[in-house]
Amino acid sequence: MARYVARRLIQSLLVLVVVLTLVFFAGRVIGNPAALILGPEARAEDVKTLEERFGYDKPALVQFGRYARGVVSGDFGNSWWQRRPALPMALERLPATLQLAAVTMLFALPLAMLLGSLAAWKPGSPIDKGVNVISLTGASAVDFWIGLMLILFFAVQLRLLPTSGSGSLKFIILPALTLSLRPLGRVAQVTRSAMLDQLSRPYIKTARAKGYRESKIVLGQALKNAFIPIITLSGDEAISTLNGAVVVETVFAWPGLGLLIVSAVTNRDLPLIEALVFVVAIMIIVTNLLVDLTYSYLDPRVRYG
Amino acid sequence: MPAPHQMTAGDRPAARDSGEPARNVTVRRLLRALWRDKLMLFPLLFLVALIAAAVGADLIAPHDPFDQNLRSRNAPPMASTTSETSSFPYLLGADPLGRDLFSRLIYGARVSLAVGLSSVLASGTLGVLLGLMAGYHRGWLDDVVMRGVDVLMGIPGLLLALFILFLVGTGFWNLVIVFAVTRWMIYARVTRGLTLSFREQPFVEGAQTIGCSDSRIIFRHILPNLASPILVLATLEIAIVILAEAGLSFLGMGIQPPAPTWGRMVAEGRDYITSAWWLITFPGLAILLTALSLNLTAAWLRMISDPVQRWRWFIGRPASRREADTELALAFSEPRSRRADTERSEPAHRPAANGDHLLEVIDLRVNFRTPDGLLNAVNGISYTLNRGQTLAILGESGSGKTVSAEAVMGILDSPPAFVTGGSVLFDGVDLLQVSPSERRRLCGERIAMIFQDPLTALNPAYTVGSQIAGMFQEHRGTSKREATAKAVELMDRVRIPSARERAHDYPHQFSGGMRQRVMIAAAIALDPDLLIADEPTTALDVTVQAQIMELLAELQSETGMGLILITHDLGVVADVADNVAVMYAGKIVETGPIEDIYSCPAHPYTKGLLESAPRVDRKMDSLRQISGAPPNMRFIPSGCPFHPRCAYVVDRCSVEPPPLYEVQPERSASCHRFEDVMYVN
Repeated sequence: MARYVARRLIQSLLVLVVVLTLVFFAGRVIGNPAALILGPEARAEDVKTLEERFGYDKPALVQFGRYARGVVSGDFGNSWWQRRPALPMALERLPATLQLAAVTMLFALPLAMLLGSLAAWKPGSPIDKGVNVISLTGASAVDFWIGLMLILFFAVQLRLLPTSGSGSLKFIILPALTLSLRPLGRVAQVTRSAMLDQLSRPYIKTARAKGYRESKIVLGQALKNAFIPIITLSGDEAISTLNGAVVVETVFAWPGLGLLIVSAVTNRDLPLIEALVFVVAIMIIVTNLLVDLTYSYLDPRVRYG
Repeated sequence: MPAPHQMTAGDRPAARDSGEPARNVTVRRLLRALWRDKLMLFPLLFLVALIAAAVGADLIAPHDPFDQNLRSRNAPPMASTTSETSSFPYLLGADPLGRDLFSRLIYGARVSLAVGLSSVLASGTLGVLLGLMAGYHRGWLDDVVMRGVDVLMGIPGLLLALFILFLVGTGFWNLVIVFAVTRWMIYARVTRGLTLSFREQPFVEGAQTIGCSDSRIIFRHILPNLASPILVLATLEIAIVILAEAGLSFLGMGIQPPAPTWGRMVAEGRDYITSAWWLITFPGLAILLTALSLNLTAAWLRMISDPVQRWRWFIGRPASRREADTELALAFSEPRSRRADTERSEPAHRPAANGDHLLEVIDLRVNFRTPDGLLNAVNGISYTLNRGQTLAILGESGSGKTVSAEAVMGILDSPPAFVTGGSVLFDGVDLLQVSPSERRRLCGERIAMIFQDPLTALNPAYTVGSQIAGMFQEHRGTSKREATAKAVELMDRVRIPSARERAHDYPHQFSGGMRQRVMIAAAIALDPDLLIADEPTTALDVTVQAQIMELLAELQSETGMGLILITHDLGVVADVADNVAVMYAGKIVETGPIEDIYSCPAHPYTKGLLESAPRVDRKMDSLRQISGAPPNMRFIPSGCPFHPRCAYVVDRCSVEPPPLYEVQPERSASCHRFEDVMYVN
């Protein structure tokens, strides 16, 4: 197991190097950093002065060497917008986003698995139809708009919850609710089809013949075997909460990575973007690793050598 | 070389003949499906109206979408207009600059649809081409494309889009490029998978043998067959792109002002959320309804182009009126007199429930409800079993032997299978009448069952020990530790070596014979009165088969339980069974003590079975086979179901179904000519 993890980590490191290299050349070769800073209306000589000041006029490989040395020591340069080291800025925002993603998934996953299992247990039942509606809504949900409508209803009309910001537990309810709509629908749908498959397996007949309770058959016997596709999708969904986080954090002024990404883009802050890509890439790698390790824990037939 | 040219000219019909799948959605099929699912009119009409509004925005919009009017800032819906150019009221209100919201929504539809359709066209073309090439040529190209798919699919799409837009700037074409780059992967993956499967099919192999060029095969033979799945995918993707475009617009990274976009309209209305609810409500609803309509349409398209989905949908539905009618008609078509006949000629089974019998099955019927109508899988069977006895139920696959056993056990898959009549008396209690929870308590506790393939019948996710221990925990409330100890004892009893250690292993770590021993250990855990073994040795090696049968016989003599042995293998039955019931086409055609039946069968089918099996107790010149094939349960022959295959057939057999005649004491057979079968050769 340890060897497997080590191998995966080395692979991930390679991916990380490739991603950061791509990001660097995309930023320096496709875009022009100095023009990015100054905006589209900048005069040519201003761009030139800036290029000289930051060394953007040097050959790309020389710049890359400097960039690579920086990255290895965790230095992505100063944010152009805030004029302080970019990486700590990104890392400061990490906990808030992790917290939001965790609450979202902790709410969505168990509920989705329960609903999906019940739907597969009695296909065509009201619960099954409900799951269909939920996943359709989830797939069609306009997250920023749903967020605003929730604010309109719970914060403005009922005055139950705060409109935006962060602080006590109350602040996380609406953004997490908005963010959970999509994973809820998708995971419920996948649980349903995985469970339909498992419930038609012979071992379910055995369990019925053994006189097990239906609840034990569905949630104990079948669900444990249906976990693999569910966990795979949950990993993907956990990563895609970053997509939603960009929009939802903007709507609710939640001080996480998503909000910072939007600020970095609107402020044309290349070093900050590069630092953010680094943090996001690490998050994705760790999530995928966790998913893989969960496989071997859940399915005794999966053993990593 | 002119020959290939001639051949290519004629390849189309040839390819057709070699079974080219005709799975594509035609207009006629679409319309017929629409007639059936009328609710689909709503999303489809919405989409048509949306497209019409987007195309004819200049004609439909009551106001100029850019026409600012400071006197009507944030005017509520239906407010009368103060604009000079149009007297039409502000149907959905006006925005903070006094522009008509309804007109801006219509022009916004233009942006959303244009971005959605262009992007999907671009990403779809890119993805399908890459998928076709990867799937058709494979090799390094396949590796590169699929690696790219994996990497890109692992990246959150919106973040990637934001990053590219950050580098290249916003604008219509930049958006289309961004969506093409971030959304081609799913098409590539689906196309590649389908292309790989088509490659192996006769219509492509045929085209290759007659010398079609690769590009011709790809574009004329493979691409048309991709149309349905790609259409479904593209419909879904339009929704995704429209949602993503709205999100980018909301963040200020979409099409730039002044062009109205739905996403930015919501963003602009955000500041007025407390005072002017309509500013965010209507644009958001427009996005939601568009995405919902597209998703519904995609789901519907998938259902009508995929028979599997259709079947799932059918399974989940309660019986329709038409089917109920069929059921009723069937019940009436069953001649009453015939039933009476059957009962009269069946004295061996008639003396009803006396306490001696452990199990008495009377006139059990099981139907399968399928899209093609009802199938009578079990058509009125009766048998009895006493304590300590073994009854072998013999028959070919499809004869209804397993289904009847599952009906007794109460573990039929319903739908599609339903018990439609009869009774199952276990120790005098009718199992078909007791409550489900009562029945569940009997299962495992007093009646147990083992199955054909022990690998699939055991749960792969649990250790074998816990699967045996589960019986004690479920029925006796035993603690986990104690139950595991008992499981180890049981594993010892069925002679699994080093039981204590192996209890913690998983089913896949055992051999077939050991797995079946595990199944048996779990089945006998609670000392059941009745054990049903459904082909317990079929999936096992011949050498192991005898050991398992020996074990079952031994356990039976120790515990005195009744044993029902379902099998198609005469050899398995010979040594252990007391009585035999031979099933054919859902009915018992012959039943009685095993020695009598083996020495002198009374039904031609039984006779055929015996003659087709090698025997050591009798000198045989050759093995014979029963001519013909088992009947399709949908078209059971009239009269005696065996008559088309029977060597003794007379005119009467195809008309009059034979009752179960009592041929000897304790023996019956349903053949009009049983005497000839028994005594004339």
